[in-house]
Amino acid sequence: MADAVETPKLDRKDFVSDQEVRWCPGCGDYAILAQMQRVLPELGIPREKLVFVSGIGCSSRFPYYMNTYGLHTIHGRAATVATGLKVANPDLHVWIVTGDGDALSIGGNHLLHVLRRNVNVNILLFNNRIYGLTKGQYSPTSPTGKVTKSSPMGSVEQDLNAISVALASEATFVARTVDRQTKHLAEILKRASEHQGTSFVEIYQNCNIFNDGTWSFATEADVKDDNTLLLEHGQPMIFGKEKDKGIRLNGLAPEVVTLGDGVSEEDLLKHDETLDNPAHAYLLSRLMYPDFPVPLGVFRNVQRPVYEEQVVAQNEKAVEERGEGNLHALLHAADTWIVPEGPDGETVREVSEEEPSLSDIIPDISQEDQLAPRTSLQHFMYDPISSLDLPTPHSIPAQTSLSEAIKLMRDENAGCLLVVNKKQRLVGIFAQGDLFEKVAGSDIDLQNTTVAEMMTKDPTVLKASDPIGHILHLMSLQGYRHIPIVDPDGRPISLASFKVMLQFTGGLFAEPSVN
Amino acid sequence: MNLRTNLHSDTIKHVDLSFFIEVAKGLKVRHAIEKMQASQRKCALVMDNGSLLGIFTNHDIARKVLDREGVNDQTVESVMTADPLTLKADMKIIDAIKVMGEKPYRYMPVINEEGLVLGTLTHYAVIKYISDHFPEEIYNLPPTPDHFAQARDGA
Repeated sequence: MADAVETPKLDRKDFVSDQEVRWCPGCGDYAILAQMQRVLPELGIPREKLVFVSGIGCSSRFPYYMNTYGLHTIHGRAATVATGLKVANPDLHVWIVTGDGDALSIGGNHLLHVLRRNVNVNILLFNNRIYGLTKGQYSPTSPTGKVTKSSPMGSVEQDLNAISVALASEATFVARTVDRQTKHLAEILKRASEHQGTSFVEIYQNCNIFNDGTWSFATEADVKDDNTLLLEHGQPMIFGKEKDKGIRLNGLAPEVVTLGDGVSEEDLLKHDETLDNPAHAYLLSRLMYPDFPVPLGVFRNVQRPVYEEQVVAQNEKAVEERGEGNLHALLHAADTWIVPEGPDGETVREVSEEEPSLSDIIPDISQEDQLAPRTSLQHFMYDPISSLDLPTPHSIPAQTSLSEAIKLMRDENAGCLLVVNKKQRLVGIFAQGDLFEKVAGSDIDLQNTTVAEMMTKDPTVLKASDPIGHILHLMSLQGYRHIPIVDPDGRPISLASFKVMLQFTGGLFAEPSVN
Repeated sequence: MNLRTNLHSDTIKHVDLSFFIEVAKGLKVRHAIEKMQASQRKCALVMDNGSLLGIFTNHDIARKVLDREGVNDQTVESVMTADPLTLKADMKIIDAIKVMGEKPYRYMPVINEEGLVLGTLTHYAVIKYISDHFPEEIYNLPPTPDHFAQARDGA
């Protein structure tokens, strides 16, 4: 570009849309949305080059919540629309968001073809093993015997393994992750984005209303390490909470062994995601609970020519050799004819009765499907922040010099200062992390630089009436050490920090049991 | 999955201890900071032939380096916290949380039975450990608290 303009650095908030999120409270889709909004700024792709394409289902509402381009298409056809979009606009970064029903049943055929063509798009399959939007019918990934509203005596169908399907469809990048394993999820999203060709990611996602706990074997803290196998390229397959178990090949069959007693790491199967032959990845895809730990991570990552690059190249070659085409001439070149109007003319379809009311279409979830009773600890997460006794923050004006601010932090032993304007409204946050990232090792003049130049502007804040869970949400997913709590006018009233939250937790759980 | 039980039975080696880098004794403060910034780790363990001499963190940078003349060219030993408080790997997480609440340290090296450094316990890693127990109440939240739907979507 001749007149290249420096792209502004984006952060999480740039990807949050103004749409009300309409997933049920507690849905696993939220965790995936949060990771996507966290990872995208790191990829450095301008928002106008990003498109989210979805089919139909709960997961398919994803494009509304991303502040990027998006297409909510028709059932099962996200892959098809995305293929056309990518061929016409190869410079776009296209994500397909789909579910187990949308991708493997209604759109099963379309999924096969986008994968074998190797269009450079990223497919996220939210697998909750149920049709959630239509209120709980069994899906193509529901296990045999599953009792649902449409299988009251248990499903008699063999379920599909999404990873096996993708591998059989010649996918070049195949991975699996879990909504609740946020760090792993973020890493897999990044790797999927970087892959050239179709990336297929199955995400175990919890539907807390219609299929709650379907993946609990892989998500509950006390069992997940024994029931999952983290795939790492070049590493032997070791798993277990104490890292004492492994996968060994016995002929063509995998088996679980315990390390020690004559079994060493050398005996274990080693992961190689780059193998051209998909047999290794397929074997891994067949490791299923409860006989085996389920593998999480990248099963296969190989390079093959990308579909749209080849199509575009062929088009360019054709134009070069034969010149620009003429669509009108093409359409009239062969035999064409006009269908005469029928003797009866057009028929008019009758419009039936009156339209259903909104409440018929959208049930009020507060009235039905009561959530499982919460434990007292879960209640704590929903309690308002005002119920915590949070410390009062140190506030400083924006024109404070860096040297004054550093001295104040030292004297007050404060890890963080809140920067306010004349009306005492919060305009920024200035923390030791900002000193570490922007000031340390630089030649910045501490006397003549103001905190306004170095602070984090317009920081994420919460209100005293918000649930406590949101503090931990921002801390654990975004890594924010300090979160200002502000009044309705934006004036800081208190400050949540890692340390304070740990002190509360320590106090709550000091005793090994409650009576 | 009960947080109370796990806090009292899991040990700190079950927490992510990877948020640190190692730097060798004799390194200039300037270069230690560069290494920390490049790896986005706010904690450096100062090592001498495999044994732990001290700890140097962004807290030390803010308090002892930034507005002091000439510190950047001194060795990292001159500003590190020598002989830092270490925790044993078999310490229960609940006990570590108590220590974290009482002591002013954000980063504490963790050693195994042989006295070798396994990693560093951080406030963040324990917050993450706790949050992992409440995925629905913590991870599955909308981007902002007022983004909630009043009614579930769909037919």
